[in-house]
Amino acid sequence: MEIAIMKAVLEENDNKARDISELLKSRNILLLNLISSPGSGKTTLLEKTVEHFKDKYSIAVIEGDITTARDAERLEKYKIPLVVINTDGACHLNSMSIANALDQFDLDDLDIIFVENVGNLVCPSEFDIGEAAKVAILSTTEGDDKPEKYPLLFRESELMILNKMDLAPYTNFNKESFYRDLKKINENLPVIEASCTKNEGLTGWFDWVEQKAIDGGIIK
Amino acid sequence: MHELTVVSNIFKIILATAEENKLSKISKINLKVGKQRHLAPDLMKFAFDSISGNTIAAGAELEIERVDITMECRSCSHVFTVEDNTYMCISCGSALLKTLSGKDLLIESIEGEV
Repeated sequence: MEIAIMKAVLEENDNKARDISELLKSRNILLLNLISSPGSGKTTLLEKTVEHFKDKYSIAVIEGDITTARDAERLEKYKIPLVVINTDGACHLNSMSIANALDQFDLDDLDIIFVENVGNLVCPSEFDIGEAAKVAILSTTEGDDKPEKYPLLFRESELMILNKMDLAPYTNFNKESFYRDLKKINENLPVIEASCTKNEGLTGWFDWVEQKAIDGGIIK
Repeated sequence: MHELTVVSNIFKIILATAEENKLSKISKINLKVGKQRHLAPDLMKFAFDSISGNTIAAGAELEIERVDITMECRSCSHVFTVEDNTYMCISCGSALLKTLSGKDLLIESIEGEV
């Protein structure tokens, strides 16, 4: 006999993500989900971002790592609320783990939460975590073919940061072909070219975050 | 390798359904998986075999139907299938699109015996 089910496999995750999104909206908190490969410069970007915003807004960070708290240790100097999620081998964060992490923050006192997802271009884009937006980070050293190879992330993201522009001359990164592929996949995806270690291009990112917070009614 | 997470969820849902319907054996699971999803059917089958051993779903067949990515153009309302990762209306060229299908990840039904 055949029994109809018609149920979304990730329903549990998606329902929890919806709860988180509603909770954060009601508390006026912006949650951004940063997704990239390992070594693209996510943690460096976060260091610069926290440094930039910490005196102006209440910032918190959730660090997703398969194992270790190395990324979190780099952010400890800023004395901001910080939770590490060790996924014990899982290649992505899910909404259940984010809900547990949020329980450890005082939500009355937060404006923006940055989530550093597990370094991976594939799996994190499949799991919503209740974010206001996904942000894709790609570095020039990874190659210009990544949008075409991992289209879902570049479809799902609202912003892309192209990092390590300072190293581009030493790589075979072809900007023309990169933008051609990206336009095909998501013409409306804004790209910020940056070099986090050289503090270049970051103003565009900071402005984007602030605009997102203004649009969400989080800051005035 | 998030196939394992996905398959674990599938497993939980089908076992609950089998229990509600008093099935003694699950022989087939019919799934719909959108082509936008980065899920490898072979890895899903491998993961399913790994976790279903010694259960009523052991040896069950995973029937995976890949669903095309279809979009509706917000400018001219044309409905089209996305080919070659090109998310642009094939009628008017607009990139303002509404996703109709392609991100599906659905358990349609299970087949089994009481």
